[in-house]
Amino acid sequence: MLNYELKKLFAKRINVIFLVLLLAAAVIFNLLAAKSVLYFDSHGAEDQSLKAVRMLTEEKNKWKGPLTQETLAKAASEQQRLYKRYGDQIPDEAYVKVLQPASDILEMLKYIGQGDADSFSSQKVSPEKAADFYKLRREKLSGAAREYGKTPAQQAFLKEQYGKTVTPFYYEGADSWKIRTDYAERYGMVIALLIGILASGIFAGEFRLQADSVFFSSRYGRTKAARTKIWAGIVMAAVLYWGLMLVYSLMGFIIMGTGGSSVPIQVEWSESVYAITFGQEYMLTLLCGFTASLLSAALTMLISAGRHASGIAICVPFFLFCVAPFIARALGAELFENLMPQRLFYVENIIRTPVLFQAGDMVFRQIPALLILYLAVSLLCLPLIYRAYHRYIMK
Amino acid sequence: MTLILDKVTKTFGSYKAVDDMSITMNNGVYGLLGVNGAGKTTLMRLLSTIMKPTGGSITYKGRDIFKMGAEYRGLIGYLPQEFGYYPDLKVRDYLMYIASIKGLPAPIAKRRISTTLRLVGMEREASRKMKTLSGGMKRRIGIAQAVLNDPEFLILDEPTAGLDPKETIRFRNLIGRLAENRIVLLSTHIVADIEAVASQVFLMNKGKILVQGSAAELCGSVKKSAWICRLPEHEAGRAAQRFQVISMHKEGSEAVLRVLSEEIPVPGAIQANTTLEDVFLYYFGEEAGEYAEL
Ligand SMILES: Nc1ncnc2c1ncn2[C@@H]1O[C@H](COP(=O)(O)OP(=O)(O)O)[C@@H](O)[C@H]1O
Ligand SMILES: [Mg+2]
Repeated sequence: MLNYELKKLFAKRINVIFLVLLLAAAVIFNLLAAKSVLYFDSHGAEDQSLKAVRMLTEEKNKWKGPLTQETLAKAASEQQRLYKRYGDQIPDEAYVKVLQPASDILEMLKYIGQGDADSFSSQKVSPEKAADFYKLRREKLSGAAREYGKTPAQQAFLKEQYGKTVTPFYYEGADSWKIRTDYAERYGMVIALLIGILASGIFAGEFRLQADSVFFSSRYGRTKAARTKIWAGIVMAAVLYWGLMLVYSLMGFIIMGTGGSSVPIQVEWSESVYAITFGQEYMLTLLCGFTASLLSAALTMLISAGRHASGIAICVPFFLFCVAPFIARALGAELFENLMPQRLFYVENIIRTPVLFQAGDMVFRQIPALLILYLAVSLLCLPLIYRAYHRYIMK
Repeated sequence: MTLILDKVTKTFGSYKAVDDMSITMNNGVYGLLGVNGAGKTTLMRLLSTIMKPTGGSITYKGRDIFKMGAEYRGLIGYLPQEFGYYPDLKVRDYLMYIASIKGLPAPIAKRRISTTLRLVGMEREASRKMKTLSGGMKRRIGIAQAVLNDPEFLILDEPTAGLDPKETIRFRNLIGRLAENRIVLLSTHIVADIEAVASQVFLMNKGKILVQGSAAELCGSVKKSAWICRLPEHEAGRAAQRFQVISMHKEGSEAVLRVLSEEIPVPGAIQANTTLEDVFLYYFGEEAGEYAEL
């Protein structure tokens, strides 16, 4: 039954066209991703070819390995040497040779230099201080825990999370993963919107085609066949989402390489409360996108099952992901805004800001809260879809 | 007593589409004959559990069909008047899907589909997309889906609508073959559809059954006889006002009329055997006029 329900779905030409467009989008997003990196070749010219990400990664891999105190001090002293010699007029060749490869590390070091009048220049950390990076970082983070934690429970929670990062950080060039994550968020939104459109047809189809009489007068039309439709929606969403993301990922691996997956995101986001690597961040992004796709499928199925038509149902994911955030912002309800479903597409953004929720003594981070909330909403929709559909009686 | 309708009523607002109807059906072919708007489709929707009656009860072998639910639906086959299908599916896939929602296991479904496609003469069309079929072919697939589960109760709503004459004849033969060991209820507004195949005919109008019985019984129920009259053309109009005219055609300068009358209508008129068509016209009079010409 399930395979014919899916066959019905993908026998429709328009749905096949959607699928082709989604595949094309995978290509386009990968090309945009590969070209979005800023890389200067040895002559100081911006390289905009597809190889740029790989070249940049290779450059940065000069620093590959654990970022020990010595390594950090070395990076800081190379920077210091350059600035001492050239001031702010660093020639392109020197930039490309020294600063570009170390840029991630130098950026990271800024965290302990912030607001420090003493340091070599307000944003440039001295080698001595750089050697003390992990100690200074810990101090700053415990300050941050006190600042961001609104209750003792939250402060304790932040402290615990900050303690989870393994130091010294392992480092290599991770730009492919950062870019990949960035575009996976946008691609995920496109997929979720189209999954909504596809799913809405599952329960509206019989009514649209006047095939409802045969369907509901059949033995299983009001029981198994109705449940199978729900399954078809979920299977469609899962297969489509993960299939397309697999294509997107593989294509990205080929174009940009896979280096840097095990670098902790704290190299880039010092105050992140998620002790994960760039590779894990990517997986988390995909998981959030999948949750959004499930939500999209469940809601459109529910509405089309209740209304016996897909018109309004199709608009719902668009409203949720694209319009509702603006309304929430206009209303200024922070909790509401932080839990909006479109946040599922902003993992990268969420990961750098320590937003916490608390229920009793339990403290939640934003991503688990969003995942649990919207998985639960999607699951709750399923029995409702069945109820809205299976008791259909012609008026 | 297999299928019993007891005082079944279906109202739309204040309009009674099915009005206090009580009928009983056993195995055999039942023809439901009535003009458009008589309530045939509504009745069939009630019987297929797509609609619920406003009042009264429908029982199958003593049990309420709505309480039987899936069990009852497993026993019926239904071809709706507006037969909707999945245009992009191939015939075989369409039937496989219907078989699955009818609860046929795949291996049995495959066999049933082959025999059913042969039955409706569509075995060569199995790999064509539904939307590429002609109207008559779609109807035949409609019948195929209805009989796929070998139903005990087959409900066919205007199955000959849109068929060309050749297909109509073919269809009537098909019904004859399907009639064994089941109840077949078939609605139509065309007398010829059921004249030969129906063992029982219900004449339905305004939600009620006017008369029921075999074709012969129905013919006997008519108090008037059919007469063939040959008249000069200019007198035909006057005769048409005095008598109920079933049909009329010209032969040279004469008009040949078939009329219903208790006594000889005009001198020289010849009495003819009463047909179901005459009965239909007798009961429906003017309303049926437009169909009599078909
Ligand atoms: N869903 C409905 N809502 C309101 N009126 C209806 C509905 N279905 C049928 N009717 C009315 O009931 C009457 C009988 O219709 P129907 O059962 O389709 O007759 P038939 O099939 O004999 O042509 C018609 O007057 C029709 O307008
Ligand atoms: Mg009708």
